Amino acid sequence: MVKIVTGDASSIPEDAVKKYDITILKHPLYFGDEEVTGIPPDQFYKRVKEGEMPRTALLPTVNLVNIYKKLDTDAILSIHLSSKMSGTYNSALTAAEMVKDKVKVEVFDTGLTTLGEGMIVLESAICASLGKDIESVKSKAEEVKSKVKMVLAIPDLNFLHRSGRLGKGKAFLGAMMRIIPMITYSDGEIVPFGRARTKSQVREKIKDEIRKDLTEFKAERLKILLGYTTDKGICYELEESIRKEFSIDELHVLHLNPVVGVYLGPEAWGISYYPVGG
Amino acid sequence: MIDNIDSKIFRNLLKGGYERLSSQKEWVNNLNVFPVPDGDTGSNMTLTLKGALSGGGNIVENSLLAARGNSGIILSQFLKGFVDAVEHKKQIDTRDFGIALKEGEKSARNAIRNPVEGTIITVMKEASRCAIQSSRRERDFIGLLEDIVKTANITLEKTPEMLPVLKDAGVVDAGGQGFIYILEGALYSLREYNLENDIVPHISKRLHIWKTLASIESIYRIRNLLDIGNHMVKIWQNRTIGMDLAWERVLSLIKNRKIKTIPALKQFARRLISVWERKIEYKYDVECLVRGENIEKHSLEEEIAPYGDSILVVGAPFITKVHIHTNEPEKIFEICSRYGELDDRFIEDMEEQQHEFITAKQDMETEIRQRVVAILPGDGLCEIAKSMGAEVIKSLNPSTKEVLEYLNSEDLHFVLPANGDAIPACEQALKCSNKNGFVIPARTVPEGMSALLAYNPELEPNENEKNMREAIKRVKTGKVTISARDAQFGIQMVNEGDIISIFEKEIKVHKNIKEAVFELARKMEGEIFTLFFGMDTKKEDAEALLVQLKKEFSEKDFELYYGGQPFYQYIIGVE
Repeated sequence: MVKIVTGDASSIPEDAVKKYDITILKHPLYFGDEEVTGIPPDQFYKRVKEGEMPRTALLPTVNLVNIYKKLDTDAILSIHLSSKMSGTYNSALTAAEMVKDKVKVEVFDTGLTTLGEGMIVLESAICASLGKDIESVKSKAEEVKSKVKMVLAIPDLNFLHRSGRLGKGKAFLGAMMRIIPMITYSDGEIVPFGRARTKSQVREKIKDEIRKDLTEFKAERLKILLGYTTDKGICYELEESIRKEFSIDELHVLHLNPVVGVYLGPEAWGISYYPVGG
Repeated sequence: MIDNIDSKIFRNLLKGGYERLSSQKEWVNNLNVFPVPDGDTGSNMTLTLKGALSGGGNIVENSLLAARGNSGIILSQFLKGFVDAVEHKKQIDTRDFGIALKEGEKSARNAIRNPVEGTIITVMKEASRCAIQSSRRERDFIGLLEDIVKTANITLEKTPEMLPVLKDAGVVDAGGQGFIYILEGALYSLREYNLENDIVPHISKRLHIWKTLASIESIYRIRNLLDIGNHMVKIWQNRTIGMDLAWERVLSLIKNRKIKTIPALKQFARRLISVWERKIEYKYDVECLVRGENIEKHSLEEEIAPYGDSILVVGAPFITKVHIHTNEPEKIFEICSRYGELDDRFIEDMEEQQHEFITAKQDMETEIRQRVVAILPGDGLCEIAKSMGAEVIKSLNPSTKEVLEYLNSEDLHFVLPANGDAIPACEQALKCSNKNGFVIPARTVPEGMSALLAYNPELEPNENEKNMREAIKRVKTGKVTISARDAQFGIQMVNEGDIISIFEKEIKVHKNIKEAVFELARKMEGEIFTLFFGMDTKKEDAEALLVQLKKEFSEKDFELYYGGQPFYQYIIGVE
């Protein structure tokens, strides 16, 4: 059976990891020189709020090689963060080449991060659990990638700004007035999605976008992942508002993994949705 | 009415043609995909005409000597046929002109070894056919040329149907377009009327867009791209017939729901790219002049024929121009040298030319650049608006002229008055500027700020307009001021010097500023209160007031910014 490998930035919840036998690689995480890889989110965000500066490091290729070798299967789909945002994709390519005599590893660039990446991982894992071959699982991943959209609301943009990954959004999303910057991804890079002043405006903008995409894809239902760094309540408000209007096949609220929190900071939240049916 | 022309007027016609073509040369270059996508048709035709007119000597001889490239030489042969037909006349009328045009076409066609329809010779053929027919009743050269240009354009529009490579590449024929520019220029020289130049959509830019489309993975990007494409088509439709026919086709396919899937769209893009990037069979464009006696053009042509294509051997027995696309330039020169002395040897690496042509670094000017011009009454407000990406005019109520000065680029403008009274001036300015854009009717500072926040350069203009208009509706405005005169508002009497709060139509007099602000904080509903304090309010006072507000209305969220506006101590936005 095809096995799915991904990084912890995808924030896949524990029960799904077990159910679909997904292998999660942990990205190295530090506060200063102290390595805190795998730190529980609550502890992590508490330290960030207290002013400590977290950072991530590149996932060593050897970790990938070891995982690929260890998995008892003949085919692996290794699903990763946008190659324009992280070096993991390239490390995975190298690792895949190194193990090619033992196992076939297809490396997949999601062009996304966190919740968007997570959606692709989950859907691919479901497909793999049905016993589909590697080509089918990969084309499922492609299909989800072409339809999934992720929107993140990031009240404190400093974390992303510092990382240098803000790209085009830099000029647009900084302002002398307090705003809630919203981002999305396009071609593997961050692009501004909009600026809101209140949480309810964020909700409305997200719902507008969902409506547009449902029309665009002629879809009727949605699979949704919601995620937050410190405030679970915002996600529940968003969930309630979305459920009132749309038909939901599946919805999970995820606590975003600290390796994502490094870039999003506290108070951030977001959504990824995948239009289906119709 | 101009019913006859002499050699002097003819020269002027040609000069008009040269000027028009020269100004449109880049446009023609960017259509050039056949026979080789090397992007020089416009330049070559221009050089040829320039040469023809230089020094005041014989037009035909000059043009032949100056002729460059396939299209240039074909053009020179057209001129030869035309001039030969009228040379013996002092003056010609429209009938003579029609016949001469036909002779020009024949001469051009005869020079080409394998004439291909859907190119310049097809446009020449239809133009001359129309000229002969029209000249039977039309005595006026202006009327005649108008008819010819019209017919030629219709023919040009059909070239992609006649020559599939044009259709795949999404363009009309370059040489045909160049020829039409010459005719147009001739017509305008009689009318003394000039056309503006077209914005040239460089092929490298267009390919960039097509390539993005070919590699696209999310529908979100496609939307953006289509907007750009739409915009390009709009620019071009105004001026000349279908420059990027391919875009129009994609758009119509989408409209008719023929392209449902991204893969189909990608495939479409890939085909277009492959036409422009195709490997060319013969690498060099080789040209030379052969000077000798009794040069056997036919035998020379047969001798070089095995070594390439696009062969042209033209001129007189004592001076012959040779043109060929080949991989063996030296061999060609060797053969030619057996017929006479070689002059003006010319070799151009078309592969390199093609590479430069299709990869030239261009800014993505085809992207619609959007600008927001906001009119705000205070320096603090202006700074905030600038930080959110707007250009600002600091004014309470600007004149049309003041606004007009800011609408000076080809970008698409959103004009954002933050004052109901300024809306007419803004609308007037936009109208006068003749520029693309929208006035977003924000009536107050908070409405203006809210509209500005809703703007996103990543979105297409219409979407921005909609978002900005909707944002206005989400915000409510309250103001605190000191009355400048005695007045009556409904039942409310206000005396000069009274402190008043204004919210919607309700005006109230208060003991002090704090009370006025508190009244508004109580009355207005929303999640977030944004206070802009004016030029007459001290920062310390404003900050103290903020603390009191937060204490009194702990369930509400307050923010304070320096606005610097006159008249109003506080402007408050609630959303």
